Amino acid sequence: MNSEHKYLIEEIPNTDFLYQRVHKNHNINGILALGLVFKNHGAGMSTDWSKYSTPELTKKRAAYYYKNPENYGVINMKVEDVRSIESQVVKHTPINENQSHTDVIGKKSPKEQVLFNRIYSWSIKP
Amino acid sequence: MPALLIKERELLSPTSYLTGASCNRKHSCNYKINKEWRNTEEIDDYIHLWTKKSGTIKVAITKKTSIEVKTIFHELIEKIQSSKFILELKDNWDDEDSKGYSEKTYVNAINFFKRYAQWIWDERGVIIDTPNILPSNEGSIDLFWSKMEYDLLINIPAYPNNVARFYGDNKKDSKIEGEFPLNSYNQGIFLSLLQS
Repeated sequence: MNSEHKYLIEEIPNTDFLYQRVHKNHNINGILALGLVFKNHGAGMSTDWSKYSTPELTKKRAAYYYKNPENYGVINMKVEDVRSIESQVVKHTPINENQSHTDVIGKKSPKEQVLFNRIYSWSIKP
Repeated sequence: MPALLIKERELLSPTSYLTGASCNRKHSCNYKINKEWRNTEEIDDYIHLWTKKSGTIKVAITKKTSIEVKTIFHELIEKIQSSKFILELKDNWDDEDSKGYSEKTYVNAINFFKRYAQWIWDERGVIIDTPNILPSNEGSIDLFWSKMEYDLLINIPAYPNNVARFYGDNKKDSKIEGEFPLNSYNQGIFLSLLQS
């Protein structure tokens, strides 16, 4: 724990899952717009760790960013599968408002986007 | 029927001649083969000569702009129809601050595929799979082939940028990755996947 955040940073086991919101407009006839879904926002690609979140909570959390949760679905990815993609690092980065917050750090070029596309599943379809 | 005779004869619509069985070629066109011709390879030649000769279709992408597509690449027409909504997407169209898409970028993406598909048809006589046309980040557009045998993603940059990036693999032991200028590239780079 540091002075800025109230939650400890923890190691995330390979057997756990990451949840990620996907805007309904990024699901195009059942195909994800890869360049819009699998991209970094600042430090990395924002996800939620299954230890402290559920797909439903991840969906609702859109409201925290002043967005309508009803416009979002949620995908899940197994941590082990994410780590199997070369150059991707899964790092627990809790923020005061979200203990589950986790960044997937590493470049998101066409290669990584294709590989992410193979490992996700829908938890909640938009 | 000898192939030479087929090439020399007047090419009318296959539907005028052919009913019964399906074309055997990889792209599985819908033309049917007359029973009495069913076992001749020349039937396929006839069909493909006809489709090659049969011209182009103008596909409107906006009220002012259309793209010409050869009928031989008819799947592209469907993909354009289902993707031209991209041009209506303005900045922040997804509440995620994504940029809108310029007509020039969209046309660049279509034209890249047209040129490439035509080149492979001319060189190999093969009609390649048609990609999904998807909005991507920073106003760029993705061409995405998602197939049982392979994946290939080509990111066409937002105009006036000119360098496309790509990745593809056959889900086993062969992969390609890199970037190329849209107006000058090695046309053979995707052949290993698209003809697999």
